[in-house]
Amino acid sequence: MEHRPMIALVGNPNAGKSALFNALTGAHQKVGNYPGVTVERKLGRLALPDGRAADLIDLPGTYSLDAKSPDEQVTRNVVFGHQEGERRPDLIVIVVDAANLDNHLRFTLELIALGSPCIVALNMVDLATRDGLELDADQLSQDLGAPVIPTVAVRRRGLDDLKAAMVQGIPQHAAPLPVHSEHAAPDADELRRKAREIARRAIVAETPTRRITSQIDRVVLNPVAGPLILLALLFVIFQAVFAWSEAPIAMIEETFAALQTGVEAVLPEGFLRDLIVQGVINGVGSVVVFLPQILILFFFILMLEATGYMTRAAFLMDGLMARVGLSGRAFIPLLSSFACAIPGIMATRTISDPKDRLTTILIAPLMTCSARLPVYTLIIAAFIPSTSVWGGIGLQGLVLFALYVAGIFGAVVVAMLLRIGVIKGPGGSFLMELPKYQMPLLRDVIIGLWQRAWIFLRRAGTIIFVTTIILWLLLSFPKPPAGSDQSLVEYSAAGRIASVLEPVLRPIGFNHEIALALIPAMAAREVAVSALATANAIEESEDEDETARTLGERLQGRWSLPTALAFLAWFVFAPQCLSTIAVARRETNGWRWPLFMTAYLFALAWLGAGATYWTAVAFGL
Amino acid sequence: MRLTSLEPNHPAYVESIDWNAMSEMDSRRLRELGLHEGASIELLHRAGFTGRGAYACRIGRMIVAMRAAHAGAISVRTGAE
Ligand SMILES: Nc1nc2c(ncn2[C@@H]2O[C@H](COP(=O)(O)OP(=O)(O)O)[C@@H](O)[C@H]2O)c(=O)[nH]1
Ligand SMILES: [Mg+2]
Repeated sequence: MEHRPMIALVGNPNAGKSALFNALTGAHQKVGNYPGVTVERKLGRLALPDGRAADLIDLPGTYSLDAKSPDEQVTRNVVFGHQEGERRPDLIVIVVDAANLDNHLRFTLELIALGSPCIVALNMVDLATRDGLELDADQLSQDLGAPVIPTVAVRRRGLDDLKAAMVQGIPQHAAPLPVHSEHAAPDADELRRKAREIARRAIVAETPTRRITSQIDRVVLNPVAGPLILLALLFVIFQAVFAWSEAPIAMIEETFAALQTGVEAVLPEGFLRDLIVQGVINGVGSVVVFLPQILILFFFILMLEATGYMTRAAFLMDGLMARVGLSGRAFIPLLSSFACAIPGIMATRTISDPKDRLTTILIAPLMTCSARLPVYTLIIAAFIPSTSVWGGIGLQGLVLFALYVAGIFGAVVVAMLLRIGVIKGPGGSFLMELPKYQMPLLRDVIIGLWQRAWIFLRRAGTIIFVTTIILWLLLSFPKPPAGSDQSLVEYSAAGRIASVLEPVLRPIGFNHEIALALIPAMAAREVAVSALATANAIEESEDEDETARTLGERLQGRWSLPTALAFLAWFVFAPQCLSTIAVARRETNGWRWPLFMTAYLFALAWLGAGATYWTAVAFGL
Repeated sequence: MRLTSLEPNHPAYVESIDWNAMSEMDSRRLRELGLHEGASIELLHRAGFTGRGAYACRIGRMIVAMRAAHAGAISVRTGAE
């Protein structure tokens, strides 16, 4: 039987495993999860020079086989062939950072000591050269007892040599099982000493150079300039998210409108046409328009990560974060949560202190994710006049900004309360490597963006697609008997369910229509918009004489300003996203914390919306 | 001398580390980041307007960020190894 060899990339974090993985597999990769844990599994296909194809996996970075975090356990289990759902690798490619040899060689020695076939990719030799380091790969290979191939993953240098070494390194017969480290764990200090010794012998020459990294750091980490630069960067990012997305959003809207017209022209009037036009195209379209904003935000996040700046941001923020009982590391997951809380919560895995991590997970949904934007933009455009205040600041933009701030402020307060109450205890620590600065590689950024876009579109095509159809059906049936004075929507099944919720929502200014939109929006916040759109489209089709109006215009006629404001406030807090709750469950290993999170967020949402409504009414708005 | 009282940008050597002043997890991480007795070390930056934020220091060839609690557990000595 043909056996496709399995090759695993293993190494310290930041050694360049993913860059090497991308360079070797290109677009031929699949991203998934290991069963039971939220550790990403990246598998790719690679063509070897002898004509065979091989599977390549990019394992999570780890510093040793003495695994603590879930990521590290996956790496360890794969290496030992114990990982559920994964074959044992035939060959291990140990990726080391040439500019950081003594540190990375420790893990290399530990891996080589296991006795399974391995080769070493001496990566980032370009950076080593930049730092004035000259290395002897042959000497290193001799001392390690394994082939050593110099590579520059991001410039695709050394890849052919690496592939040739893979062909040589893959054993003809099944390799022996690696020695179980519990029995033969080499002494850690001994390994470190040996690693330093080998590194010293591999370094042929070392000329001190003026390092680019330290020059940039002098500015970027300056106590005064540093925070200002960070603030300016964040400002530019959020500006860009709105400014750059206008044109693509308009294009997507036009496309969906054309699609609707097209379907209307082809299909005969009736149930199917209504379902497709009012339900599917309308509902899915109102969500897909947010793709540009999500991609722009992730573009910046990926760029900041690829350049090495993101860890500096974490460093600068640590002082502030410590005050609310968090660590600087929480900055990265929280920033990601502005795009979507799901990758944000998954990114908390880099926080080693369990309490810090739990607190970060619990407040991540308070960051204004892009799924709230459909709701915010719809309501703001309809209810907030597009005037300027205080000499030129747009009122609409200001309201949007206030909504972001409300979320952040809520998160700060909640984090502090959590640390005094439910998650008591001393704060964790902050330990982090600040990698060298890099020119980001567009290719890697694009691959990253493509993966984000795919996740989002898959969501639009599954959860949102299905909920929209179910909702459309619930909204359309049963039909009221002829002569009934109830509207079609009110009489429908969905309308009756909403009536049950209404008593709870009435005090905070919500009407029947909002109650109706909030139910399907449990699946995802943006569904609130498609739900309102669907309900209105159905109602609209009833009054024949009425000319088509936008959803915003229709809402204007039916909601008071306090109601609209309360609706906005609700979405600052409400945990209307099943995927987030599901991810929180996976990441905290149980229902306790996600249920706590859901409960506290709903309580906050009710109070926030109520306070907004009562205040607005009191001011006579 | 503690790392915290070292002049910035003045290379020194790690004399001793009080591993008991930190959790086992943190001491393991610091070792993985290359901290050991005899390692070359240099204070580079301190975050925060008031100068009370985290420290960034060079350990060997790596730049590592840590809080004062950890930096204070590292004793350093200037001059030759
Ligand atoms: N200059 C240079 N940069 C590299 C090289 N390999 C990776 N990088 C960069 O180093 C950073 C860390 O790489 P990554 O692949 O994410 O490391 P991983 O943590 O091992 O997966 C990224 O910004 C890469 O673009 C290399 O050979 N040369
Ligand atoms: Mg990686």
